[in-house]
Amino acid sequence: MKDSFNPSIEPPKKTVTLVSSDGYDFEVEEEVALESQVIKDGFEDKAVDDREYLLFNVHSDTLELIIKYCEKHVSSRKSISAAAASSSSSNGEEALKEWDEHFISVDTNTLYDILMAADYLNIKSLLDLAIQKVADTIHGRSPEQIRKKFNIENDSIIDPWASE
Amino acid sequence: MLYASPYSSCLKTMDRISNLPTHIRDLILSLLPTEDAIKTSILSKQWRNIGYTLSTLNFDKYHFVFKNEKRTEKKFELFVYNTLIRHHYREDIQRMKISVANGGAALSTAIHDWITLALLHDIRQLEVLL
Repeated sequence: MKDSFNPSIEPPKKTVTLVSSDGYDFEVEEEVALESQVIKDGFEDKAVDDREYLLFNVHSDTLELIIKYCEKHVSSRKSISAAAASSSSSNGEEALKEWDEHFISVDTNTLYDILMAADYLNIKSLLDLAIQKVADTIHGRSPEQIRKKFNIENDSIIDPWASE
Repeated sequence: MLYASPYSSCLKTMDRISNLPTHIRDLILSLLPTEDAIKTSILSKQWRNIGYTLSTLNFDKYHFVFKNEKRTEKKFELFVYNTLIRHHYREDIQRMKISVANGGAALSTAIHDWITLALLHDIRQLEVLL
């Protein structure tokens, strides 16, 4: 049976392959990959069958998280704008904020990896989320507590900012 | 196995935050009140100079609480002065925000001096809340 034209079936999504530093391939939808400004820049100039990106600085564990974040943001944006178009009330943005908060509640090593990857791939919203998380962790803590939290070894001899 | 995972157990206790690129550390500290950002200078040698190179400064007199208004003003004034004077001569200040919490009259001369000092660092954005 031939089924060459059926408007209810969407055309196959265009995909991009992202290769992690440890050699794993991740096939993601184009719009998900385009969340990264680095990939977006010059994307159109790249041949369609050559859309593979070697991410030398991103380990597969981290890349998995980054893709999860981008997928969530792409789909949330769609549902938010769909809700706005049909002028139905939606708490999409609120829900996304909550999701972000949950997403970034990770141990300091993972947070560091996400931070570095977001910077490398230039994903502004994720970088903002991660630096805010680190800032919140530092805020209101004593130097000793900060050292403990981030495993910073105290090798200072004097305190140059001592006020008295 | 072709690829060894770089995540060995020793990483768990490694200090990685100190080795962040300077521009990221600066972004993080720009979200904090400047007195908190500067406090990180005493964390370790690697953080020592961070207080001299902040690209964003947030001074808020409300964060300074001393037993009387005069002392609070003095402490705040000294802190802003010290931060600006010690700022590295080759590092620009992108943004500076000063909230003087109704201390505008008493601190008017000081505010003038702070702005002059900030201008030496090619300040782009200045906000003064009187």
